[in-house]
Amino acid sequence: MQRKWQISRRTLLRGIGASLALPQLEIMGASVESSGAPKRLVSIFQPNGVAPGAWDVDGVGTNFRFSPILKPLESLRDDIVVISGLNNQASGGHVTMTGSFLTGVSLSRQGKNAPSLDQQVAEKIGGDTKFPSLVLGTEAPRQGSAGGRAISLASTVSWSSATTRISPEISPRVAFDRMFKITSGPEAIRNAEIRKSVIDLVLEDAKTLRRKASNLDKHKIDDYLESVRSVERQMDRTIAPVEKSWTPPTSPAPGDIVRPEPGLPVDLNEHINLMMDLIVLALWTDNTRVATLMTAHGFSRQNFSFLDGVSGDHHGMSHHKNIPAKVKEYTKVSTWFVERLAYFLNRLKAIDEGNGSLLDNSIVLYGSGMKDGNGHKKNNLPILLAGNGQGSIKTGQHVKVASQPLANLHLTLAQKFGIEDESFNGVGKTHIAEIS
Amino acid sequence: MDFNEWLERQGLGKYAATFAAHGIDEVEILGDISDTELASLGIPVGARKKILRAISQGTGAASLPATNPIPEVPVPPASPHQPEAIETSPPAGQPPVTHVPWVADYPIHETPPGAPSPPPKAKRSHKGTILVTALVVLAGLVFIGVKTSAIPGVKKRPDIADLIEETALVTKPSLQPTVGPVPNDPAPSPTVAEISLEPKTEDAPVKPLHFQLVSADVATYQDHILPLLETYCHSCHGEDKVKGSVDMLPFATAESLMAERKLWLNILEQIETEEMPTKEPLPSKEERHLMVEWLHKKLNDIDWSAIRDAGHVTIPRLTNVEYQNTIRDLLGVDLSAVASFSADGEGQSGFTTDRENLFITPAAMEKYFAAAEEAVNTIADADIKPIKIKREAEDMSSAAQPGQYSNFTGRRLTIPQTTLYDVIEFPADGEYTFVIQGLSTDGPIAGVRLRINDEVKGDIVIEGNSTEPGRLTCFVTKGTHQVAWNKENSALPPNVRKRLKRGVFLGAMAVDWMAVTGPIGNTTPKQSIILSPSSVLPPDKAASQTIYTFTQRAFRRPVENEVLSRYFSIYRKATESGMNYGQSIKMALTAVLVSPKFLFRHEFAPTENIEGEFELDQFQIASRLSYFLWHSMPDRELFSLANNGKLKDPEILRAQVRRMISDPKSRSFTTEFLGQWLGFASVGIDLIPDKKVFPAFSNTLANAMKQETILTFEHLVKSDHSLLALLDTKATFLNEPLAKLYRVEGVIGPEMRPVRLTDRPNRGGLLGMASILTATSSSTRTSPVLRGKWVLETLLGEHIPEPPADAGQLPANAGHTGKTLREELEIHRDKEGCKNCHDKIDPIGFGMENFNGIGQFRTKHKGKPIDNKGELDGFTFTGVDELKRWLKAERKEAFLRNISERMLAFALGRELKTFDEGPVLEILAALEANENRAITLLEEIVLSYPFHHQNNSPSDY
Repeated sequence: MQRKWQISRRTLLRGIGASLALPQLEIMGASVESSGAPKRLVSIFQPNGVAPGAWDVDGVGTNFRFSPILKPLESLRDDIVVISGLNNQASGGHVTMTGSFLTGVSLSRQGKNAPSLDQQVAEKIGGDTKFPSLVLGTEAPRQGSAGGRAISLASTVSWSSATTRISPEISPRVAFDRMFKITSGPEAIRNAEIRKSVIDLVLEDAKTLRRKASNLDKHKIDDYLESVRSVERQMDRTIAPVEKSWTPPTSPAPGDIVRPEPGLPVDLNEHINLMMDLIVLALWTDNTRVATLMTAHGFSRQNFSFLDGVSGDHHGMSHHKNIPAKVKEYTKVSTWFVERLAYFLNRLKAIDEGNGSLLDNSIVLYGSGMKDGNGHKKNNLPILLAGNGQGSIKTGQHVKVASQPLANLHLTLAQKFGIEDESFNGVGKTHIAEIS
Repeated sequence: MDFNEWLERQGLGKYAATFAAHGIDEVEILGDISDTELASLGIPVGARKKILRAISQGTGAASLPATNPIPEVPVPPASPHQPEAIETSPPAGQPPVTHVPWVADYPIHETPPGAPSPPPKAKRSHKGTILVTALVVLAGLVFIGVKTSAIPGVKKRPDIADLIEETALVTKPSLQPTVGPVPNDPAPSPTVAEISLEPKTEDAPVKPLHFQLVSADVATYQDHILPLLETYCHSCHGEDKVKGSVDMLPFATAESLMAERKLWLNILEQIETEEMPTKEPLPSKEERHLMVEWLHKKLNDIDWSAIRDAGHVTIPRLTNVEYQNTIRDLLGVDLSAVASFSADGEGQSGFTTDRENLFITPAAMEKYFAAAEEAVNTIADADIKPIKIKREAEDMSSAAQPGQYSNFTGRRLTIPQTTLYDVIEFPADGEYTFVIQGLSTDGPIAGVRLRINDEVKGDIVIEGNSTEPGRLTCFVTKGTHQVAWNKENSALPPNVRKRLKRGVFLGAMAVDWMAVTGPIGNTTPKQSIILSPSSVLPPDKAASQTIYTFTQRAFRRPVENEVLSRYFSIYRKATESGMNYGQSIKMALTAVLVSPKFLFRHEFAPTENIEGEFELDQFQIASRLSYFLWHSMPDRELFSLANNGKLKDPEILRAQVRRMISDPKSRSFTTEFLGQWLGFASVGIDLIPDKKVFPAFSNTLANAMKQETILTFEHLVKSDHSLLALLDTKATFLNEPLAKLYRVEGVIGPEMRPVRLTDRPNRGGLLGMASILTATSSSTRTSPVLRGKWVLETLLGEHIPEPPADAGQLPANAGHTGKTLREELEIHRDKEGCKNCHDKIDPIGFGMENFNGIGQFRTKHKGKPIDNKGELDGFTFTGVDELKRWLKAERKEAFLRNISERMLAFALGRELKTFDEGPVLEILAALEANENRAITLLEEIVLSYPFHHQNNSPSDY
């Protein structure tokens, strides 16, 4: 059982506050013929929808006015594009509408989905980095069922296949250690070699079992095989480091990184900031190029009474019945989530990668699978992008598209990462030209 | 005609691309896709309905002779009465592959893995093969609507499909609601009547609807029932909206009803009691009667004993708890690495044991590697010699001067500030026993407290002139620690303190000596895992014996020679590369712990029947038993019984259940089953009451709350009481914090102990337990709705539809405004569409209002007296005590059925299906015959058909 921390801790990254640009630390002696920084994808999910009136943006194109919820992004006007008019294909409630956030597909009664955007992109571009993707969260799966489906299904938006979902790592310490454990030096190489020979053996075991497995069970063995191979690739890299396609021009000074405490922070603010710092670090050091963050469980009942004027849990207030006082609380929480986003974007922006900031080299997808918790509304979702993805996204505007599936955005973004499929999971079929 | 052409013909051409993108290019495949899956492809409801219709009516494959030829059926020369020939399972208890002999007692053996023996010839009857093939073909035939009885000589095993098919086969190819008289009505029914219904709603179509009314015996779903449902139900349940999360559109065939039998039983009840429909048009009396009769026949008139389908349990990956316990029992290590594993979520069955919902991902695999390495490293420094240290008090450190007492020299501890201490090296993590010999110098009783590195480990009391030394066993980590004793009277055992209150003082103790022994208590001493080479045991032999024993235990079954030699070769390679014996053997053992054969339980089929239904072999049963009741691997006794083929004998199985449940390892079962079923596992973890409203709440209290429920159930099971006692037993377990919450006096100290709640009519039983009362409250207030829903759904297994999304919830400050919570709720549920359910839910919740959001009793809230009256089905009650009586008197069957179903699902690791009704009924009958005793339930689950079988091609319902 993981214990929550009782005392407040520092953030993980010291010294790079929003206003403080990081000094360029030239890497001594590393004369890398840079092919330019790679493009990154970050997906950030916010649960339980928003109060429509407080999110919706007035004015289209570059002349748009920030809505109350989006106000915290005002200073980042040129870095974002708000997209209205996208619809969730899934309906029902918090569980199904979370499941489709990155897949575009509705969870089946048996809990089957489809590969998500982040995992498809990771499969395409993840081969060059230590981790194809990083999937983080803040809440463990919840108990119970809703609408005939296990609520635990809503603990993630990342699916590597129709049947395999990726549990977000919620412990900052565990995520940090995984990312930054030392993988060079004779000790690491020796351990990697040991693991390699173990891997050879267990792969053999798995293949034997696969032959014995029924058609209904083969996918479980396949998951095992795939997971072991992924460990194997890491070992290969440790034994014979691959020539990196790109070396970041700057890196965090060792003293600036603080290893998180074990367990989970009590303060949600701090927890999300830590997870965001981890993503910044991972992208910055090019340990991964694809990251996904569940700011909370898709059916989150987090108690937000730590915010002034808010009492009660997020899911509860999302069913606000249009009672003004409740809508106000709901909006305060949504705004708080966007403040976290602003914190994250500013951190990305503060890192110079030579050809632009880390934010310029990224596409950050932010939003919810639900428009409004009250009525589980699924049309005109709250969605925005940040970062221009090396000029591939036209930021600084509000785009109002004709009513269409969210999967069209997935299709459009997948293409920015070199995936040239005709459709996204069979649902998204039309590229959204307005954002390119 | 190809697939696209077929689509065109059905008017579905525009979805061709969607289907193509998903690899759907045959009508059969389309037939296998559920409505929800179709919906997930973005196919709109109208088109979905068309597809399902077309397929169910055989417009599918039947009209595609060119591309979908009926396979050549090798008609088997079997007689019609040979159902037993279908059983293709090998004799149970005989693993199909040759293996080295099982060594149940792990002796040091002279049988290192030798040369791999040739695989045995698969034994299997020729007849069986053909029949299986025929069955596969038959499945296809059923799909295209050909009578199964059309194939002579083959009698299919009876299953639900047959029973449904029988009615469907008399279907005549007609008729939607038709206009005018029906020509050539072939129904031989004497009760044919024709009624005409003039819809009264103004915007409804003017043309009258004509339904053909036949007796339920000859009515078919397509022709007679579906048209009625379409008229009276679909507009609210599928077509325009989906009210109460009941969508009736996907149910295009009679078979599809069976897949969701529970839902349809509910629908049946609503139609029968005239709760539905609620709006015009309303069915006539005759129409209602027909629907009710037909549904009864379809859903209930089934010979369940004729249906045998074990269902499919996904190959079981160990849950995190199972992993941790298995490592504990395998290695004797409490692995800290497990804390970093991502939590297992609950699956569709509502339990984390739901195997379909357990995944292996790259990140998880890395953790399994790290955990295996950690585990093996703890045994590598396992050449531990247990310690046995005795220290005379006068040789230890203390401010107290040595003196002569009775017949010994020692030191006397008189005040808390005086300690007696020494530094001792503990060779490993583990349980150690501390013994202290002394006597009370100033009274009938003396006590001392043990601290290790300033951490309190416990208290020891010495009575009068007893010459018996005091004992204490506790966990100590590896390393050198200060062991200290002093006199402390604050938290000695409550019975002692109670006596002290009456003017008896805790005397000072004169200590003669103290001793420490340990580590103890591991069923598997670490030393025995890795054999040390010696003059009589050369390293290779020691290695092969180590690997041999370890691998069999870790894989929980006999292991083939070939596999053993592969693990041995890892060791060999390591030694050849220059590693020493210990390092090399560690590598082989690490590999065992990350092998899929360790991480997954072996529930694979015999090789000749991979896609069929089979009886589990004896080792598979041993694991099912141990993972059900211990969440861990089988022990020696289970292995030995499996090896001797005894785990088929019902009497032996019953005896094992009793033995296993009385083992402390069964705590995992009670904790996991109860915490997940009743939903209190998350109290204090993510269900945290607001400190400002409930200052009494703490993590310590949360643990005590959960322990109360777990221990009560455990006690009930171990003493084999009636399961109904869960509802109102007066025997419970409390500690000081929880007793304070309940205002029960005389319970002192942190440990849970049995308490009888004699003068507390509201306490006792689940409904009066703080764990449940907290889990069913919001963080700031009680929730009568959550509590009512909990009783109906969680406790009694009723289906409560989701509220409409725009129904809203009460604000968190409800009940803090002028109105009472009850008044607010009454306003809230005055809405149409809310009333139906809330009339059932709310009275229960109100009856429980005497308990606040963390289970404290109250008679007033905010100055107003609590109104705890309610009415249910004409039964009026006041407060929890009467509510409990209602539950026991009126809802006994529902409760027993629900706990049985929940536990069966938990034990199997899958959601129950319609075909599980047979086993459930058998369990219920056994309970009734045995006064609903708890162990009967466990035994019947363990003896049930699905517990002993696995079906890799289960039917759809």
